[in-house]
Amino acid sequence: MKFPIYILAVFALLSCTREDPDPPVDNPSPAQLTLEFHHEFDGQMFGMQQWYISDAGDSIKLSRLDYLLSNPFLIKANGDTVRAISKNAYAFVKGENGMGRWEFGEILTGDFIGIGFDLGLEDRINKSNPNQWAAGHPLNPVVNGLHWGWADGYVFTALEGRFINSSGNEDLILVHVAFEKNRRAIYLNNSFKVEENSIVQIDYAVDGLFSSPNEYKPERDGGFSHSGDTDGGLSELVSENIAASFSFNSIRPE
Amino acid sequence: MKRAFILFAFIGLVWACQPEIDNTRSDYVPTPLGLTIPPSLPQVAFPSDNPLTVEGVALGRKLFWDPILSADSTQSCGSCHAPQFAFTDNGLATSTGIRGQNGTRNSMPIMNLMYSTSFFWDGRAQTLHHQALMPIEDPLEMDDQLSNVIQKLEGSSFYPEEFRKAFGTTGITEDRIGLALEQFMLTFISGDSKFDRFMLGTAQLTASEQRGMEIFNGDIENGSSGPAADCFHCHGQSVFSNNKFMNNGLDSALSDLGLFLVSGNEEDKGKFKVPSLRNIELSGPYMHDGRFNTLFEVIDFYDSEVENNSPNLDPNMHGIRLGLNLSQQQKSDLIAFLRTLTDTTFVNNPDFQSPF
Ligand code: HEC
Ligand code: HEC
Repeated sequence: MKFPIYILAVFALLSCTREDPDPPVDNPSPAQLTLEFHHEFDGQMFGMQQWYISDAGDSIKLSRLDYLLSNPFLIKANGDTVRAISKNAYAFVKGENGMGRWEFGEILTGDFIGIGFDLGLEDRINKSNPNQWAAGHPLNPVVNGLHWGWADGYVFTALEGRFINSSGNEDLILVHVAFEKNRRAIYLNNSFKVEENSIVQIDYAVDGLFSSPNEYKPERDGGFSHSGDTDGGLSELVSENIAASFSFNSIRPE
Repeated sequence: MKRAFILFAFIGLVWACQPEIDNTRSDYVPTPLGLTIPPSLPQVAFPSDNPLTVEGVALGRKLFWDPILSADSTQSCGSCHAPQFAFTDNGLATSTGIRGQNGTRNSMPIMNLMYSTSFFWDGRAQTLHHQALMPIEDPLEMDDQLSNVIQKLEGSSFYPEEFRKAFGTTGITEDRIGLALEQFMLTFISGDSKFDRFMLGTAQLTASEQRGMEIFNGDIENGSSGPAADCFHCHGQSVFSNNKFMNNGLDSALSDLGLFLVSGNEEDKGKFKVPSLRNIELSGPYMHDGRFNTLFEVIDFYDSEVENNSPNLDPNMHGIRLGLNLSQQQKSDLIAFLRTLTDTTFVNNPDFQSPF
């Protein structure tokens, strides 16, 4: 992990102001902000269907790494929270191509000290009718393929692939991270300045899924979970690792 | 299972009303056709490169049902895609072509194809209008040449006029044949089964169907109790397919390589298009080669015959491959649920039947 990450508890965010009441001092103008997620393994661009060795020494190959993000916000230098993300309140990111984008839309230029979002969806949205979402919307079940069934809502991350077990054979990994218990608030505590249309590069360390903060060895900890209560805490372990795997890399003009 | 969230009634296909247009004028434009997605199905965009029109669909319907598209004028698309069989091949395991040539694959249902991003069991067609031309030249199917088909259509007493109504000029091209067939097939929307009405709150499931639905949607979990079969992970959403290509573990030695034949990627060996389970009661035999005659055989396969060593077995088979251990009653319940996906309004829709 190259940059420190702080995961704030949800209650801490509740104290933030929802709107931005003070007109900023330095005559801000609007600019488009986009997040770009770069999937990496040990600092190199991550590829699906390729074998990697985890820090714990396991051979791992992933065939699916799709995830849903929501509830984006920015923290301004004066401490105010900007929740007015005009374009997309949700993002669906696929593991393929080593990269995904989240267009925040227009924000006011200025200095910021942090950026945050949730892994997963709040219950109210999670359990709502999936057929309400327009074609192409990140929450449209055809777009994300992550809708879990009418009672349970969406899968927040579908982690699927293979590992080599101790007898040298390939075995399956399937961890579907879901439910309110696995919604994770992610906060990247980094200062940056937005002066024009910009792209924030966020790195997603896929190696971290198997190492940080919790070591995850599929053979020892189980390769299979649908986030039920009998998985020995596997889905929570993995969702904690996922949340810790995002880090702020840099900002550049669009 | 929550079902209270859908408020709308099923509206069905809405044919856009337009005033009469004189189609002989040079500024003639065909009549746009508005289709409504039933509220129990996800919203989806139709192909923007081929807007549906009343005239285009009408032409596609004629082409679909006309044996003129085959070399000896014995076979139409409808010959192998019959409405009563959910637009599959009349209960046959694999299809035979105009001279009785044996195909190797099971005919696929034509429905809700607006959700698909590629077509055929191995995904070899990227768009539906390209797909539509392939059976015509397939030596195991209609075995004609498109140039020859175009000549035959040009010589017909009504096709040039039908093409003009659909596309503004009389020219008959491969493209236009594909586009018209695509338009017609895109109107095949199935979303009025008992299951849909249950979702809308206007029908009740029987106790057996309800139990079957819970098994179908149930998550297999280590150490958990209660029957669960993980079916919806692949046959998911109200489309009953994720439209991905996957290996569900039919064989340990593959005779048909599926998606690999198209992509050449090792990890695609044995992957086939996940079929929608809508109207599944009508579309047997089952699987890409039609190996299972009944739904009971299919359930028995998932219950205890999944090949753990099948190359590229999908991770979503993780729980199923260990055995479902369903009782006879639970198998019947699962099938009772699958039968709620039968949409007789769809298969009997007069707009889809032969116009001849
Ligand atoms: C000889 C029987 C036969 C004829 C005639 C035939 N089909 Fe098919 N159709 C099949 C079979 C078999 C498949 C599956 C083939 C495969 O996957 O290789 C199929 C697949 C399809 C699919 C793919 C559906 C999906 O979900 O991907 C469509 C669409 C289709 N046919 C449309 C047509 C059209 C249009 C025509 C006429 C131009 C036609 N078919 C003529 C047998 C036939
Ligand atoms: C890993 C994904 C996956 C899971 C889980 C799964 N299926 Fe399938 N299913 C497929 C694929 C892929 C096919 C087509 C396979 C082929 O023909 O090679 C298929 C085919 C079928 C068919 C035949 C459809 C046809 O038109 O021929 C039925 C019926 C079916 N599945 C029912 C079920 C049921 C019931 C369950 C739960 C016990 C289930 N499936 C679980 C992927 C899956």
